[in-house]
Amino acid sequence: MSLSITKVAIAATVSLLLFSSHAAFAGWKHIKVENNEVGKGGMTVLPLSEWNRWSKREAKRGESWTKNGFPLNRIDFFTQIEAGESIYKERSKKHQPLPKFQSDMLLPDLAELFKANFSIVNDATGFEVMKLEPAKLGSVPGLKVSYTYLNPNDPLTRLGEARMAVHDERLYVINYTAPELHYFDESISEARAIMDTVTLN
Amino acid sequence: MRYYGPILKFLGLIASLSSACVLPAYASDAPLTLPPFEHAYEPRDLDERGLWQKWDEYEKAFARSPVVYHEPDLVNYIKGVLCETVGPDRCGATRIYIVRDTNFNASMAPNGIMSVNTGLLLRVKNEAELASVLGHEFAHFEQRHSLNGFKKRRRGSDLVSWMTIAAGVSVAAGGSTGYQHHRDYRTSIYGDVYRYARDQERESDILSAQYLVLSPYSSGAAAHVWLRLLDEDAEQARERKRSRRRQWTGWADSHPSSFERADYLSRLADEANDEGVYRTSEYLEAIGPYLPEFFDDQLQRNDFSATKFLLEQIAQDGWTADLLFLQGELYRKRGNPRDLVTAATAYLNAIEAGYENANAWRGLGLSQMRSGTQAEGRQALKTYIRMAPDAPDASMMSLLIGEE
Repeated sequence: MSLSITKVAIAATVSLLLFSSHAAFAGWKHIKVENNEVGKGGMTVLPLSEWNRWSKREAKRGESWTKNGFPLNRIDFFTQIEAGESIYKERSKKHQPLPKFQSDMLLPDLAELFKANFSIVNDATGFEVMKLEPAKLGSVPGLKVSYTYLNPNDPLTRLGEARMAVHDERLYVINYTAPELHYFDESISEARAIMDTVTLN
Repeated sequence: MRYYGPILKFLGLIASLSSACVLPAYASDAPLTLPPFEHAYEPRDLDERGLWQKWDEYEKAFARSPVVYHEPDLVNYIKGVLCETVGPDRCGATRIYIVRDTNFNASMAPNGIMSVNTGLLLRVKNEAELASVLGHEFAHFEQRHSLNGFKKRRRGSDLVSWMTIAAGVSVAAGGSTGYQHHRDYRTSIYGDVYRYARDQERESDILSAQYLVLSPYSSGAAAHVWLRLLDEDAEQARERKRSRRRQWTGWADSHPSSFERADYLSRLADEANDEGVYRTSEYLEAIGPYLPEFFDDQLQRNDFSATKFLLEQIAQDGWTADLLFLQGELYRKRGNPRDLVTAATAYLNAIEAGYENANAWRGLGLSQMRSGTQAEGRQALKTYIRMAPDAPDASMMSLLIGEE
């Protein structure tokens, strides 16, 4: 009897460890060239090539992909952001509060909302909008922001391109970033294809 | 200063009545002198040569970094303030780099790199305050604090490593309290390393105060910097519903609290009783052209109350057209209905005060369109597009006003 109790205790401990390790440690998932439900079903995305998804989410209904590692190329999806929510997950209301999406925002205001959210979360400076123009995210009219930014203690100039749209009163964002040197040009055409063909759910 | 000034005066009174509060400074009758300075100093031992070599390599890349703000006029101006503070012979040993960073900070490397954040330039009000911070950083350089701090940390980690082995041997030999003692000593050693770092900061503050007394600048400016930081923090804490920071020095703090620094620096200034200058208008004139860019980074921090505080501090001698425009930007970005009305008024005031950049019309148009006065908003945005047809967002604005 005592042996079986010990076995049950060991089994329970092992399962608890396995379960908790799943939650505690982030990991990678292979993204195949097929329709992918992204951000807990907020978008449907068909990539042109294979990517890697990081299990840690930057937003409640978002996810992040890369090919060569986040410092080299990164595409972030943010879906179904309701009025009163920030684009990125707000990790500390007291020390790093993020500006929130408001239902009466004009399209240029969305670009500024993104600029502030991105700058705070990434501790970026020198965020400069190179082009802000009307564009569709999937089939929904919205806007495109092309920008450059700097990270502290980073010798590289980084470029980004984000598309945003409001659909059913909820904000959707796809953002691609990479160093200007080599990597931005390498994957921007695929990032744009994803932004063109995405379905907002 | 609005919160802490009276408290500090009260503490100063207590300190002056108490013989226990003795500053290691210049209360004696002996004339104030600076430590001897060696021109073209070269590193002496293996550790120092290694540190310098590391920083020399770092500087090669850092000088080209896009994070560094390459504005020769501004760099020369800051260098001029440093030279007035520490003297032309000393300041020649440094290279100044302005870093685009909204945090209040400056740093000094052992080989003479002095980094000054744009966030610091936003927060000091005159040359004397800037001089106190630059003097503090230079004092680190003059006293070889990087090298001494490195040696202190290495001694501490060496000691912890040996004690870990000793504790292991003790437990293996049957001792029952080896690990407990190890933890206690380790905590004590770490505490000693932090205390040493804080002492270096105090030493630099005191030497900087001496530089100021011997310079044209007023040493009274040094305490003002820390008091204003406390006030800014109080504004932010109130908005974010958090407790105030930098009031007390903690066990693991690398620097004394702002409150403590303001306290001993104001007492040093009282003792020195020097009659230096502040040069507020000269400072504002020098950084004025760069303010909009510095503020643009600050405006992205979602830090309304602290940014408003900074803006009002700069505007104490009058709201210029630039400052009125920035006020409009600040309120528009928060975007409550009442903010949009305030923002529109600020943009109109900026235009009336002679603000010539088209962005005032952009901000005005967006504020008005969002607050329900579409016709006026469209008109303002039309003016924006007319003034800046090649603006990066011209096509977006054309769409917004229905002209595309």
